[in-house]
Amino acid sequence: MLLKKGVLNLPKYSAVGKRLPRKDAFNVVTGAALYGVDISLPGMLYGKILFSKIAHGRLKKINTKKAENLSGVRSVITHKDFPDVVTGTKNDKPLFSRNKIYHKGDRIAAVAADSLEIAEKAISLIDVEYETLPVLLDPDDSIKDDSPVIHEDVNPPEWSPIKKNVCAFYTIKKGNVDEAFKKSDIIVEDFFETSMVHQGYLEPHAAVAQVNNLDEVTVWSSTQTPFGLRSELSDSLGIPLNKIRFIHTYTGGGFGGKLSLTVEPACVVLSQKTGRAVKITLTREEELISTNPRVTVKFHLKSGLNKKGKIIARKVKSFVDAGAYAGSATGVGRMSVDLGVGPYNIENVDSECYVVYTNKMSCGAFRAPGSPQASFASESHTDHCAKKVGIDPLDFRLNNVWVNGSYSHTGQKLEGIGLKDSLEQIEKDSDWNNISLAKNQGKGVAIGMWMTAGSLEGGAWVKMNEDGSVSVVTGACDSGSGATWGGLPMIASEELGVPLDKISIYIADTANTPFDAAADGSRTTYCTGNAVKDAAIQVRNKLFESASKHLDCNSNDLEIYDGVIRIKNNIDNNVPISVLAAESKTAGGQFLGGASYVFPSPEYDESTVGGDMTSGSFIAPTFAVQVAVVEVDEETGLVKTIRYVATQDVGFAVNPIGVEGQIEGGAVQGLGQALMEKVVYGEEGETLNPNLLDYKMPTALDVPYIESSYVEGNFADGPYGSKGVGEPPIVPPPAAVGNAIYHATGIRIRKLPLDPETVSSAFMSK
Amino acid sequence: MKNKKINITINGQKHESTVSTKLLLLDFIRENINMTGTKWGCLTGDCGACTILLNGIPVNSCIILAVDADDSEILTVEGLAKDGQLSQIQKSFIEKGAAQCGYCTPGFLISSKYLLDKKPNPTEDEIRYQLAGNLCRCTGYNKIIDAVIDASKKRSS
Repeated sequence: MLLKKGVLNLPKYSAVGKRLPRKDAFNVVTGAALYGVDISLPGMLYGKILFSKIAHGRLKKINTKKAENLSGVRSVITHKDFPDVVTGTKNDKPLFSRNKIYHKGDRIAAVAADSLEIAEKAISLIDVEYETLPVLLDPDDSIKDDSPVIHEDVNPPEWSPIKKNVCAFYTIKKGNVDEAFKKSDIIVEDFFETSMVHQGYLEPHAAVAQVNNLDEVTVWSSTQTPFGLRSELSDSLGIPLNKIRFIHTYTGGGFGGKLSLTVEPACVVLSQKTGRAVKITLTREEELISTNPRVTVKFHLKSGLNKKGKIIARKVKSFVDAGAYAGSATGVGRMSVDLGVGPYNIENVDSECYVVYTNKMSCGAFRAPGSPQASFASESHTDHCAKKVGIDPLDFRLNNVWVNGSYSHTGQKLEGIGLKDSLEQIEKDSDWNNISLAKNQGKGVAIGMWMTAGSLEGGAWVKMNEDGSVSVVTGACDSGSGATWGGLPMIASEELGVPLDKISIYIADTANTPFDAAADGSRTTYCTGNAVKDAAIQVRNKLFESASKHLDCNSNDLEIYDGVIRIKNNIDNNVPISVLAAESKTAGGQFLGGASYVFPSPEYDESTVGGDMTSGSFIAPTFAVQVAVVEVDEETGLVKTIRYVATQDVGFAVNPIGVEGQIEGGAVQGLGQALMEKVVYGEEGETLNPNLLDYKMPTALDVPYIESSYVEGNFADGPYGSKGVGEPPIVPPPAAVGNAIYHATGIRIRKLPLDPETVSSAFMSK
Repeated sequence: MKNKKINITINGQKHESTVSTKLLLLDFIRENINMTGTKWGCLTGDCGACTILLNGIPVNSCIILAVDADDSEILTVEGLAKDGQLSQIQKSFIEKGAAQCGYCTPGFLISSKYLLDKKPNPTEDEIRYQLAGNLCRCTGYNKIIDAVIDASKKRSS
């Protein structure tokens, strides 16, 4: 069922580009892999966190006496046990509540006890007095003059026209939209709103901390960023980095939700107090009241078109509901202002975005943060534009999209992009022009844009063991994609001519691996892959130098093949790598390589950006294009996805099974956001559906077999021309499905999710 | 809190213990027996990460009390490989790339084994129906279905 296409004749590789198994696979299928929730140490205590009972107000008094006196309780901590520091992008987040309460996920106290049952009982014995303030749940309310100020210590951006509860403001402007609207033949206006959705990783946050007599801290954590957490913990608790060791356990999914401290500070302080290891695992309910999901963004859009179907001007005004803290909402704002306009050549652009505090969960970095929201708005709006001008939506996009040599809205010259190729690919894969549709069925297409977080450093060592086998050592971790467990060993194998079964990889322990930023930003293959490639080439060069003495030739005349180094034109004249490796121990020294990679951001036109924009360009922009075919039950509002076709601009697929897995998995996670997922809040700021029965994620019965493909040949600077893959595929589904519903019924649905409730009420108000 | 003596056979090994009547079967397997392959996902029976075979039937071990499993036979993911040899469904999961983060994988393997034992050549629809109690957030289910089909072909050949 796989439809695959190579645009160019790619070079022949021995390992990369092949369908090879991952290094973690055996441990995973036998149940031997130890995840955060599986870690257990001798004498370990069980921790539990008390979360706030109110969503907005002040903390008046905490009485922990009864909890402390309960038999089996070893320590109870509150803000008094933490330094008085605030963290986060706007320095607005305390580790434990000190004075103000910002949302129901705020931490009030924590206990460590001999058993989880005792810890739970102890939490219920802590008395807390609160003073309540009005709860703000919608940015529209937060910005009103008579609303309370949520963060009294955060100054709103001075350049923002709206001040109340605004924590960041972004603009992109070029040309003159008002003049262009006057000259337009057709004007299209829309409003769209997304929903709060959770990453839904199957393994909840879990960590174990052990502090020893030298005050050295070791934390085993289910995380996407051991080095990031080490740094955050150091800043929060004032412990130097060399005294903190983070060990990345197997991690049961993250999708951006495991990039900041959650349970770890409490584990560490409770361990400092007791001298024992302390473990905290969040329950699913705690996950859905206190962590960092994808937040709601509201978009107002207006486009001016000419009769030929060219977009002349586009104006976008968006409001990001940051939740309780700025968190990743500043990033979402920066994406909304840019990606909300869409990947099109438009001469006149006026986009502004406000990031606004409310009393809900704080925004996190869910897979392509900001982009699914922006795509739902801009791609639904673009579909509307195509309809108004009477052009097929796929053709309309082909007429307007960026191509190589185009300039982004901020003046970045775009090169090596495969957007047009991907649109042509999806046209073929889906057989777009001949999709047969019955009554109440429709088709929709949407584009998702993302980039590669190449500015985050990746590091690796490659060392050859004395028997000729290879160890790759990297700080990169793996929350499931396989970029680390699958792709990196393939790169080492490719460069060293050593078969994959003689390569091992050791990952993500801050004490003994080189720094690597995180399993985020679709960056592992791109950055760490380059580091592994460079380190392997260093080892290869040393091998060649050693072999040239053996074979009495110049290093340049050598090649490496299947564990043997040989003279290119005289392949019988050779020496096995294992012989050189064994010799190196007594002569010449071991074959060791090390490298790190970080990419500069491309240039852009600074005059186009304003407000809090500190960067206006994207490293290695990538595109996912997807087609949905749906059937709509007009009575119940139930939308069924009959077919789903997904393709993507990947540059080069280092690990094809992994690339397909990202595209298919991303599409289905996106279909969840399109059709069923929403964290629902009650009036008091409480999560009304904090469990997986009421927060419904797609099962195998809810989705079709994803028809996936990818487009190679538009190369970027990743190894072998690759670019980031993990995030783009989650972006298009909300708009693709929304556009298909419109095609089926003539009704444009403006709010996510496109679930029976929303769809049927849209029909009723038809 | 009451305690009760129970006898449970896990992957062919007998375990006799005295446990609290409140202890979940999942916690018995993970904490008391120290077999952590069966995963802790939601504790409400919604995600399927804790799926085991209880007397041959797939169940969520997080919503069953250990004392209610007295005198039963249990199969967990650790019992799928025999004498160091992976079972076909495990091999197929590796070959087809059906595991990404791997956290749901033990549950999927158990549900898939149950299906293939009952129905050696299932259709895609039958596979989706049987696996609908197991959530996977990574794969989009394609490669899991590929793996079950692959295993069904190789098991019957």
